[in-house]
Amino acid sequence: MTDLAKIQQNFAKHIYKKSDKKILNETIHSDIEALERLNIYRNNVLGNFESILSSIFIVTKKIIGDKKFDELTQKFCQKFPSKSGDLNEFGTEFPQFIKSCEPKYLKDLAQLELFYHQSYFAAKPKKEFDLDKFKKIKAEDFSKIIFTLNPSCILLASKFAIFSIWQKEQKIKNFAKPEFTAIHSNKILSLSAEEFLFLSLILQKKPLYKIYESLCKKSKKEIDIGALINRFIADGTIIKFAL
Amino acid sequence: MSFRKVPAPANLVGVGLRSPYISHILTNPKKISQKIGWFEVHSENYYAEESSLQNDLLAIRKNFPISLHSVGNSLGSAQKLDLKHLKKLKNLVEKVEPFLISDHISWGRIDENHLNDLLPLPYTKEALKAISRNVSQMQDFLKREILVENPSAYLAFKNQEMDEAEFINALTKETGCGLLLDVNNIFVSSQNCAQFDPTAYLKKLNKKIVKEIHLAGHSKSQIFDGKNYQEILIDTHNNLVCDEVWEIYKMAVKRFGSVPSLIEWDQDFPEFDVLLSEAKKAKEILKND
Repeated sequence: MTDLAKIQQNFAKHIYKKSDKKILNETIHSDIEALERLNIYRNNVLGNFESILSSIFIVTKKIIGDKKFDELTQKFCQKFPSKSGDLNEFGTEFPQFIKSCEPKYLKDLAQLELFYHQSYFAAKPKKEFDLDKFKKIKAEDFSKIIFTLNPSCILLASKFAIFSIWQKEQKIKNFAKPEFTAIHSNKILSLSAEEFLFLSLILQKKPLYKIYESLCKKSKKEIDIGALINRFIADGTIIKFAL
Repeated sequence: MSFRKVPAPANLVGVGLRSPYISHILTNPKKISQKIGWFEVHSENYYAEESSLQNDLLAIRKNFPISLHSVGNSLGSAQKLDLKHLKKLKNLVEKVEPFLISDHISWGRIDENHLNDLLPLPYTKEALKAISRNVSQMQDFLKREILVENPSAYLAFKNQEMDEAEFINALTKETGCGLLLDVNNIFVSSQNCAQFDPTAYLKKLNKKIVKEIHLAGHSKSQIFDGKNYQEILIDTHNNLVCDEVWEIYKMAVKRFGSVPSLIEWDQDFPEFDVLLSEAKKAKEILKND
């Protein structure tokens, strides 16, 4: 009698590679019937993987089409087997896996969708921004403020217009323009270059005066730092401050 | 070892808590609690600490008892349990204080890879030893009794040393775990493998082991055996409970008594009222016990 570990290895091999048929010897059914029955398990396993990838990479799938997406997901499942009993953690290598696929922006678009999916499972900050305490800061101390971003916030810059493509859920003509985003709390925020730099510097724990200096150097426009602060406190991107 | 027990709800009928229903339940807890006694969740969906999903579950927990039903511990693997995965369940157990915790008589992990599905076990002494070891480890780790669910089968292994009911009796005896009796799975397996009669199966199970019952719908497909096409039932949880399964449920309630019973629906989600209507049917059967 084949031992349990061997049966399970042969079963798994058949799931990933249909031509591996050692498991057929372990069933009571004829080879033809056993293959059909094993196919139910095979379809369930691969179907679960394809289904979770389809639910994460919704726009990526629309851009390349169902057929191409199915081909890619099948290859992906073989190359990057799930490493967790929690299916929600599957697919993190997918953006890298499709890096050479056309159109050129596909990897960045998939990365945006992956971060968006992950934000759904990220921890929500325990406390909201303390506005009352913030309003009491003395004017002379304001430049020393160090803000903290929502811990689940991810900043993503791309050479391509991935936010516009994601929002429209279709290809766009003028895709070769840089776009900037912040992703947290199950939402994607579209950012200007200045806003992206502002949040990047907060992430680096820079005090407000340093941030202002850097923004002024980079930007040709007048910087309204108050408006930036208000916006990102209001949408939950900035959650804390310290002096 | 004796484990901590959390009391069962007074209304024994519950439904599976799935994301399309969460906001409705959060906004109408009083109205729903008149019809539903408890909810069951797939624990893996709520492992992310402090996530909005977990916060919603904890908010629902304030008004309803919860059962945690896992799909990813791979109790039947020849190898030992993935403790990293089990730790996530323990964290959730500590927060939710579920009245029941369960997983399946199946496997889905091989080496470091997960197949994330409920794959079948051969009913051999070796498989019994492996799953008993893993069930005991899970109970010791959680310091709670767990229930194991009978699977739906699409194939049968040769060289089996016992049938499914004997395997379950031995597993529950060896580990002290309980049985989550899925009456739809009994029907699906009995039709697909033609190996047993559901009535005989129920009679063979030890009376005291059944601590929860699942009710669900299935779908029909076909396979080719080389000569003919055969009908095969797939455990899809996307349909009403069929008449034959309600009959098995009645027999189960008669034999095992009134135990918490759950309406499962995992895809092609209907209006919440459809689940309430199925729950009402189950409640009527429990009342007549």
